[in-house]
Formats: sequence, structure tokens, C-alpha cells
Amino acid sequence: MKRLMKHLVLALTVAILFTSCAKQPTQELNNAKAAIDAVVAEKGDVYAPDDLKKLNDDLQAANDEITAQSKKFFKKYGKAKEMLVKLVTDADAVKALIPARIEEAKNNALTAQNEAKAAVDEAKALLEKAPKGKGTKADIEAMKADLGAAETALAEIQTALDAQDYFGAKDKAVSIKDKAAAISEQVKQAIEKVKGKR
Amino acid sequence: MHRTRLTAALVAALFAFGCRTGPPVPPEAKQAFELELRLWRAGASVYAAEAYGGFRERLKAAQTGLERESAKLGWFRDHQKAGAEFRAVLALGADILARVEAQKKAKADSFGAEAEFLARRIIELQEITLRLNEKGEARRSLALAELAMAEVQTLNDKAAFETIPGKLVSVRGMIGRSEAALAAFLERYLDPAQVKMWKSWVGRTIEDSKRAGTTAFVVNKIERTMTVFRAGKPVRSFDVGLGMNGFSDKLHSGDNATPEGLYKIIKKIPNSQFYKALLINYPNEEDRARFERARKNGSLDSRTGIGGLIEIHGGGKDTLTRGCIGLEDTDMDVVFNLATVGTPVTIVGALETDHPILAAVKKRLE
Repeated sequence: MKRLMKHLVLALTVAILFTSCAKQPTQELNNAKAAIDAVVAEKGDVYAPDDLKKLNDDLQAANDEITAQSKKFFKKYGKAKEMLVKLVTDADAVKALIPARIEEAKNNALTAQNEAKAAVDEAKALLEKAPKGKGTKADIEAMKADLGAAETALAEIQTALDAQDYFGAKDKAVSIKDKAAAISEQVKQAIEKVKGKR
Repeated sequence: MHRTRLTAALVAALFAFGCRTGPPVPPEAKQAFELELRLWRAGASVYAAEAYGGFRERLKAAQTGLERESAKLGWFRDHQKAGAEFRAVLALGADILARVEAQKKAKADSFGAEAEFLARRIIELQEITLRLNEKGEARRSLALAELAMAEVQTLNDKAAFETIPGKLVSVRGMIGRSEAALAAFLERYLDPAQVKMWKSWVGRTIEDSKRAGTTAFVVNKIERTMTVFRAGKPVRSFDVGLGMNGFSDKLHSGDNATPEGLYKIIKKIPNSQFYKALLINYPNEEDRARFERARKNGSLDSRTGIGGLIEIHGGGKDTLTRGCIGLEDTDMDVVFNLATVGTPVTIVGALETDHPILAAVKKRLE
């Protein structure tokens, strides 16, 4: 009887050790969340949306694993810990990728800005060649006004660049470039028309 | 001997249960996860949040089932159930994706309708500014609106719908500024009292032409036409060009405005810089009186002159002048032959307040 009691106490102690002493990986979970927050802070939602989604999915999977283990009698958080540690590594890797992607977006925006400026300058130069004053065609005057607006809008590209909205800056630059190119084409046609009339 | 048999049995068991790799993982598993990413990229979490959540749950359950099955020894592993579950997940995902795409298309169409309406309004107002040679705020705002519309198109192509409404509001604002500028530009044309006065001038000119059986010219600025009346009846009409600031009433030299009033031809010039020309008697007495009033009230500099040498001339109807009325050379030939010194030339802004241009300007967005 005494021996049986001894065994029972031992079994109970082992059981308590297994069930109560397996602590949830709170620190690892916090580290993983902080690593994802750092990716978001680096504009991961803009420059690495797919990667950020994967990180969030992995975090969810780790959370699910923790929840599943917490419901078990014999809790084993080893797998969850591994997932969370890997998640921190992955998040750090994504974070490290972002500056290059930002740089690429910035360069694309700057290139588009330069192209827009060049297109506006070309249209301006062409308009200089267009007839001036009395005898000027009304559409040339209208084009000058349009180009003036496009030139004003060039400043908006810089505003977007300053706000680090590189995709927005590029979109603006492309629309200005297209407008200026269309004006250049119209000016050429107008000049040809005038030449033809002489 | 007994130990040898046991070892042989163990080795045989290892071969039997351990070396069999079992069936491959169903390819639908990978496809389902790829579809999940496609759904997310398509914006399923926004456009079909509940269904997408359900899809993810089901995907997770299928994956758990697959993992459970994969944990078994090769001989006992059967992925048929997991494969069927992943196929069901794929079908569900495809259905959600179709719904998301349909919703996005509906959204794009709704923005498209609004964008199309605004684009049409921009074109309508651009044509008006071109016709009126308005190259100030109205034209500038339209050019900016056009640029913003190009950005809307780009955003639409990228399905970045969340930023489109804000852009469209700003486009509306730009169009509104253009409309306001045009309304200010055409203030006199929209004033019924002013139009009534112009009509009375034309009525008097036609009446005089009828009574005396003579020729008279009536220039209508908003129509950009010059109508020839003979014995009170319109016999010919020509398209004309006006001054660079032609829709204003001429007040002083250098304003590039085309005068409004009752004038007459004072000289016929057969060889002009602009083909042929008919000089009119601007400034007349009323012009002089108005000019003096402007000088007295300080709205005009004392060094500013009243201007002159306003002609009806050739050179083309789509050219801009410094206030003269331009015609195509072939039309000028006709007009020149019809005109004599003393032929009345009445120049007015408009003869109706509901002229299509004025109606289009009155038709504001807001």
C-alpha cells in the first residue's frame, strides 16, 4: 500500500511537471510581433505586401499552435517556439529587403520626374517656335495655357517625392509627361498647318 | 537462434513499414495555397471578408488533415480524403475569386461612369475655352483636372479603388473652379439686360437696312459669325475670328478686345497685310465717353490710349487678332465686294441668353 502511494505521488509529480511547467512562449511571441511591427514601420505594407502577408499568416499559425497546445493535457510548445523564432528571422530578412525596394521605387519616380520635365521643356521649346501675337492660332494659345498647368503640376511630383509617396509621384510624372508629349505633337501639327497655308 | 529470428523480423518490419514512402502529397494542396495568395492579392479580405475567412479556415483544416495523414507510416497513408478536401477548397476559392472580381468590376464600372461623366465635362469645357480663347484660370483648371483624370485611370488599372473617390472629388473641384472662372468670363453674356441691349442694337440695324434697302453687317461674338443683311434680310453668314481677348468689349489700346457697338465702314483697303481689310470707325462717340469715364475713375492709366485701327480683314477665321474681325480670304473677297464706305457694322456679344455655350456654362456640376 505504502509502495502504491509512493508511485501515485511520483506519477502525480511527473504529471504536474508536464502540464504546469510547460510555459507558453510569451517572450518569443512578443519578439515575433515586434519584428512584424518593425516591417510595417518600414512601410512593408507598401513595399513588401506579399511578404508581410506571409509573416502575418505565419504568426497566425504560431498562435493557432499555441492555442492548440494550451488545450492539451501534455503541453508541448517546442514547435510554436520554433515557428516564432523562424518568424523573427524571416521578418528581419523582409525588413532588410525593404530599403532596396524603396530605393528602386524612388529611382523610378525620379526617372519619371526627369522624363516629365524633359517632355515639358520639349513642348515649351516647340511652342516658342509657334507663331506669336497677331495671327496666332487659338489652339496654340490654349496649348500654352495647358502646358503652363502641366508645368505647375511638376511641383506636385516633388511634393509627393518629399512625402516619400514614390508610386504616387511616378503616376503624376507619367500623366504630366503624356500630356506634354501630346502638346508637343499638337504643336508640330499646328506648325505644319501654318506652314502649309503660307 | 531466437535472437536471429527476432532481428530478421524487425528488419522485415522496417522494410515493410518504414521504407514505403506512401502516396505523394496531392498537388491540389499547393494550388490551394497559391489560390489563397491570389485571393488575398485580389482583395478578398476587403470584398468578401466573411467568405475569405471561411476559405482560410477550410484550407487550414485541409492542411491539418494532410499533416495528420502524412504523419502515418507509408503503408497506412491515404491522401485521397485530403485531396478531395483540397479540391473542395479550390472550388470554394475559385467561387470567391469570381465574386471578388465581379465586385471589383462593379466598383470600377461605378467609378468609370463617374470618371466618364467628368471626362466628358472636361472636354465640353475645353472646347468652350478654346472657342472663347479663355487661357486663364478656366483653361488651367481643366488642364489640371485632365492630369488628375489620367491618375484616376492609372489607379483604376491598378484596382487601387480606395484612393479613387478622393481623386474624383479633387477633379470635381478643379472642374468647379473652371466653371466659376468661365461664368465670370462670360458675366456680361449671362446678363439678360446686356443681351437685351445687344438685341436692340441688332434690331435697329436690321430695321435701318430694311427701311433703306441697304447692306449691313452684324457680328455675333458668341456665335463667331458675321451675317450680311440686305434690305433687312440675312443673305450670307461667315465664320469669323476675334481678338485675343475678343470676348471683352474694347476699352483701350493693347487690350486685344473686339469692340461692341454700332459702327460703320470708313475705309476699304484692297491690299492689306491681312489680304483685304475694311476699317471701321472705332472709337465711336460712345467708346470715347466710356474711355473718358474709365480714365476719370482711375481704372485706366492716364498714359493709356483708346486704340484704333479695328478692321474686318482676311488672314483666316481661326487666327487671333488684336481686336479685329478675321475671315477666311475667300469669304473676305465676298464681304469686301458687298461693303461700301458707310456700311453699318454692328458688333454684339450674344443675342440669346440660352445660347448652347452659355447654357453649357450655366450647367454647373454642383
